[in-house]
Amino acid sequence: MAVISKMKIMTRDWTELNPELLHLISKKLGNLSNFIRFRSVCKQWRSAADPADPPPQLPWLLYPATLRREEANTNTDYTLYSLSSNSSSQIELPITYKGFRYHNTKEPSIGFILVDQHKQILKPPYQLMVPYLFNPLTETKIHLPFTEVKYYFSLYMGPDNKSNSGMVKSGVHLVVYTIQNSELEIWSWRSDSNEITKFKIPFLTFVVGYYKGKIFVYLSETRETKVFDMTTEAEMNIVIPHPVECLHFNLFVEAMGDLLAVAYPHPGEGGRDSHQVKVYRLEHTDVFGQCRWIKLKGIGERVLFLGSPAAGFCLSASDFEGLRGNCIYYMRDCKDVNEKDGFRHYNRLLRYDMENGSSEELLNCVALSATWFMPCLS
Amino acid sequence: MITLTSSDGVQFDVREAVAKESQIIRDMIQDDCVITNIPLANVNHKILSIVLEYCQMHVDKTEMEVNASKHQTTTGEGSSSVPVALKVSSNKNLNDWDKEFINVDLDTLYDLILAANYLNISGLLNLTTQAAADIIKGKTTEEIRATFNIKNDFTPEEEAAIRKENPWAFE
Repeated sequence: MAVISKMKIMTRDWTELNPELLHLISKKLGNLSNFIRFRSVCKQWRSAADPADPPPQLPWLLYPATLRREEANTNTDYTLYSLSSNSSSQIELPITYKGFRYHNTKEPSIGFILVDQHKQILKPPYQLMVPYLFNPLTETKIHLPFTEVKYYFSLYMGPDNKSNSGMVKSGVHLVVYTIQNSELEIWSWRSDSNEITKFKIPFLTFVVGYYKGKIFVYLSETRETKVFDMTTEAEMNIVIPHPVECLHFNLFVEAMGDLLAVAYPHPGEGGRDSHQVKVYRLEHTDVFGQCRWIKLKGIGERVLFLGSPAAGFCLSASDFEGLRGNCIYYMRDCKDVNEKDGFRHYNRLLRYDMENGSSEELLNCVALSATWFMPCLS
Repeated sequence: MITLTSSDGVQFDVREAVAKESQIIRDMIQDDCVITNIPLANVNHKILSIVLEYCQMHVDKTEMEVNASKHQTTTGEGSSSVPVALKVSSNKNLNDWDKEFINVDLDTLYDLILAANYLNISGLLNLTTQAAADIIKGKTTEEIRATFNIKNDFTPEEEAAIRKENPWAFE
């Protein structure tokens, strides 16, 4: 009987299925590539699956496909790693490796990454840094009015709370930092007004965080965290004592209403907790009059996605089927020497489970920098 | 007991709890409690019998769980972890049963999706649409068309343009 039923000629027309039901099927396709192929089958299926409403997606990792320096000026091949399917695919982007650096979007729903592209010019300073927001899947660009030759690191990219655009589509608020004469400079840009405000912080560090309108900077020499107010552009009179058991913070990340500080393992250091990823939550009063770091045993349903350079964002495991909570995805760079390639410098993607206190390697990628982003087709 | 009549005139006598797995039947019964015979114009007897098999199984499982936890509370023995463990194992069994249950040919799957939608049985709609999605997953565009017997209605130019939008998804 089973054989006969399989041999039976199909009489149902799957293109005639109610668009709502086709949409329901399209929402269950998991990886975005399945969704895109679903949309390429026929006209009815295509119109039933709105690119703005794909299946819920876990973040993807993006990094250059090779590291050969001689190809830096010409190569435009990148690797996309999909966490949900644990598979990689190649993508060509209209950007060469040279000077191409990217930064995690802090706001997963936006789907853009911040890209710096060098541009050679004939007059001094001979090259310009042209930053823009870029969606790697649609290749949509949003140009930024940043004209100075600098490296920009994103601190926050998300919906503009002050936006006047109404319910339709809120504007984008971008906060970046840049380094100028051994000082930090914070730039804030809003797409609605296309205006930039800047202020200087007289310290040099790469551990910088943005949280509730404040800038947090970690200074490794003195092992302290200082706080600056974006509105008054001044240092706040706060001293946050550094946790004794923690050597240094590696980065700050805002996670569902909390500011977290993360310290990566220092295996060379030895000791009982040298393989731990340590996470601290900032406990503070309303006006930040009193602040202290509280070490967390776990982060509950939160999942952190930390990239290289140091930046990241947080998702809630309850929003994504198959995503394990209480985990941290992070990148660590490694160096080794082998006979074939000689000296090699690469990055490893690891997942740290706060429950059992161990890290598991998920991916060995060639690139020195890699960024997480939320795939977005619209 | 409630009598459900399929579109081709076959009658099924089922317990009220089983029929109430369907949201529309639930609404009908709530509006007027004297209803005992419900004609279902859009579901033939073959599909209705499969749908009712699903409802019967899910009602039985739920009742078993309720009884098991009642038993726990009345006897008052054991820790609260026991019913949780029981629930987990019974959910696992039910998932296995669902998986086996939905292993049907595509025509039947199509009819079950329509029936689950018409009768508004959310569990079954979820199961059937997920089964259709699982068949699509991992296949190339051509394989999907061949599997579902769908004719490509794009012009070569349109198809090329679609592939160009996201070339990485077609490699």
